[in-house]
Amino acid sequence: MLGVGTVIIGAFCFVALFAPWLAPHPAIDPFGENYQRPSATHLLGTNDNGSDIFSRLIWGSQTTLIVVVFATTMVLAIGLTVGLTAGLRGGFVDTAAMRIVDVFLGLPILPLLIFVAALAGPSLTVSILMIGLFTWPQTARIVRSQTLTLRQRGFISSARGFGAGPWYVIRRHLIPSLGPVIAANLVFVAGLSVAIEAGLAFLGLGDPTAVSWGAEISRAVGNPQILIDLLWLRWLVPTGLALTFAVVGFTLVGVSLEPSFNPRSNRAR
Amino acid sequence: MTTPIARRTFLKGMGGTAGAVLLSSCAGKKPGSERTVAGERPTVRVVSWTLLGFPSPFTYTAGPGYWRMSLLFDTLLWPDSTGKQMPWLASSYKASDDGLTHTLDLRDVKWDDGMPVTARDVAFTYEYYTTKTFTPLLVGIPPKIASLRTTGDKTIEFRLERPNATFVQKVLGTMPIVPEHIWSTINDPMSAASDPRALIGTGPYKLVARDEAQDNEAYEAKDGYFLGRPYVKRIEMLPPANDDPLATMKAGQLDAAAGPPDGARNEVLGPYRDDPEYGTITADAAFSFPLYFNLNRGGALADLRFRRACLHAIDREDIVRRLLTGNGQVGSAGWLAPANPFHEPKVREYPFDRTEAERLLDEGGYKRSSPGGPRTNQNGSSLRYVLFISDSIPIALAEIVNASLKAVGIDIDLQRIDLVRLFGVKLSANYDMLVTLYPGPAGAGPTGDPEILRSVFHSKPPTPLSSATGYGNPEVDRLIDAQVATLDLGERKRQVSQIQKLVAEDLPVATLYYTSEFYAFRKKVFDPWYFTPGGFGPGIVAPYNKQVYITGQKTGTQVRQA
Repeated sequence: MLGVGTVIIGAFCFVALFAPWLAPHPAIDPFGENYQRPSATHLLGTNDNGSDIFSRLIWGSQTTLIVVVFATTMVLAIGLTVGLTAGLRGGFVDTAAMRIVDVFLGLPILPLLIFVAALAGPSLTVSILMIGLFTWPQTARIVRSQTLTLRQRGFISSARGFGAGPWYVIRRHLIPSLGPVIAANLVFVAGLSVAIEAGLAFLGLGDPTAVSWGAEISRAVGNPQILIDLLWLRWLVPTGLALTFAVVGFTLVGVSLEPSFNPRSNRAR
Repeated sequence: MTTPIARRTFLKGMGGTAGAVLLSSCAGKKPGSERTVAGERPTVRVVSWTLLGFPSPFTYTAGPGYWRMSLLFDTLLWPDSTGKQMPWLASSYKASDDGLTHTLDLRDVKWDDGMPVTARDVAFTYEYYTTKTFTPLLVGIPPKIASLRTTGDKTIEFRLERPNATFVQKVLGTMPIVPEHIWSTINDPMSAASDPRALIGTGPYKLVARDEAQDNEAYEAKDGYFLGRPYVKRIEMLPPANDDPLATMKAGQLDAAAGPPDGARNEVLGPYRDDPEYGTITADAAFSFPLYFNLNRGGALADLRFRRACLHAIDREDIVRRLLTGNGQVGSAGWLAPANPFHEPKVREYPFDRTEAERLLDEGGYKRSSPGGPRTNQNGSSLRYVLFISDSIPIALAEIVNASLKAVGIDIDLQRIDLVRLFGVKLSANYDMLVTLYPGPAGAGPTGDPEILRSVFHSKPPTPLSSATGYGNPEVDRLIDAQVATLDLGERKRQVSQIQKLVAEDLPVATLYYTSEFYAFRKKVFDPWYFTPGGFGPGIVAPYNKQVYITGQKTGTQVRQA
């Protein structure tokens, strides 16, 4: 599972990073001939305004990767800060932080994302912010519980006994110990980001100028010609498959890593 | 229109459509072809619009709300397929030569609750409409331009202080007459949004089913209707699967359906045009796609050279060819479409000419920061504007406009937003540039009465929804005020032509293109559909004129026998 997932994520990242060289045409070519059938020039034909469908498939991976990287970084930053602070400080800070986490975990994320994104207006930045702001609590909770466990370990107590400050302990001992658990969690967050970004874009809440798989599916579904001339087969299906593979890739890696790093999973076994 | 709701229901809708197609193909005949029995009055199934309000005369919303309401209430006059207003609730109508006095006699008609319709009801209705405040989405509010007196129980006389060319349509042909004995007890008409008394009228149909959650309604003919038993015995309004009425009709679930307002290519319309089972009708330039500039923002937006350059930069003929395979027309800078009898063809034109666009921008002092790069304003700031575009307009058009303006150095921040938000920014004038679709809620369609020019170009528009923000030309104002008071058709045409020429020069709004309304129907079920010239009621273009349901014919008030 890990191997398959890694290959998929690797391929996805490769395509996204090298999109400018891999895509045979620009993402938007509104002056080209539209609804062209597949040919050597346009492998999957062209869409409603003449843009190459295959190229848009490739460019779409770039938008997804941007969202994944930034949203996951946000989740990492917030989750790590809140989790470490709560775990290390304990007391009121811990209680307050965990109540905030509880509130966020209790929120119906998808409707809330749609609501906030609709109010804020469609843009890629808003999508990233929304995903980052609403998916950090799980990470914070895991970091906090691991920090609490680690705090009781002898090497942390010893370090503190020798006069190590909190920053030193975090940098030298906690982060390296937390790393694998956070990595496994972030892979899940990355998969979730892909799905949420696609969902927001599908609903028209993404950047209207960005080429995104979700928006592309929405555009294909809303096109009155989608059932004519097998347009769905070369537009809707490849985009849907690309999106599915990306989510499945992250999920496979996340699921594979979890038993190795998640203490709960170890106990369950 | 593509909406989030439509997308959520996509799978369900597709499943329903596919299932219906599959079942009917198993039966070996086309879906819906079994819908007629010779000699029976038809039941007609059309698209529903239940979300557009409770169909009382004071709570309906926009055009689709009005035409549903018109099934329950009558006006004094009403048009047929010729567009001519015929006496309807009135038995006779007479206007004085100076156009100031309009006298009508009422038919001997009863309200649904058995009370007689009297001249006092008409007087009460006009008073009620013109003294209360309603939302602009109540599109058929009659203007207060006349005083009214009743002479006897059945005779009404409207008296105008000055002639008004729109009086007959906007008041006599649009205002639904309501019973005084009901509405005099309702102080807030907007609150009666579910009160069954609010539907007591004289109309040809009664509402027999309404389910807002399922988005369906049914209207049944009243056997005792004053013109005779309506030919169409039942009208069912049903939601289209996947927001695609044509495909829903093909699946056998509707008997008539319109194509998308944003237009369609021949590949989509062809199956209906070529199939003998269907009849089709088309209304040219039923919808327009105007590009608004907010002149109040100043800067380049208030600079005529910039606005002209924008229009020169967009290849509108290419848009009509590629997006619509010719099922549309390039917009006139004078707003009114060629299909409008008042259209002036000799207005300034803005053909696609990128060189001219560049020249105008250079002349305006908007220099490129680098060869081929974006331009800057005279003060060095970037020439960048937010362009709002309705999400009910194809994204392909948004991309074309965006790329076309960028190609001449105008940097655009494209914001694609839903219609409600779009109307919000338009109402509050909180925008730089904006592309929308008309007829919008202000009804400023390109084929209506030229009085629509007031709502777009007058410096004191009745609503900011469709007005050219920040535009004011005293000569345009004068001509708009003059044309509405001109009863001589030739003279009015001259004035309206002049308005179109002036606004085409000033270009505060640029119509990108028009799309045609395409309508297909199952001929065996019901076939005399038509588009009313100039629209019915407040100018509704759609083919739901109740005259056709009642009479089963395109003209007159004589009811066809089944």
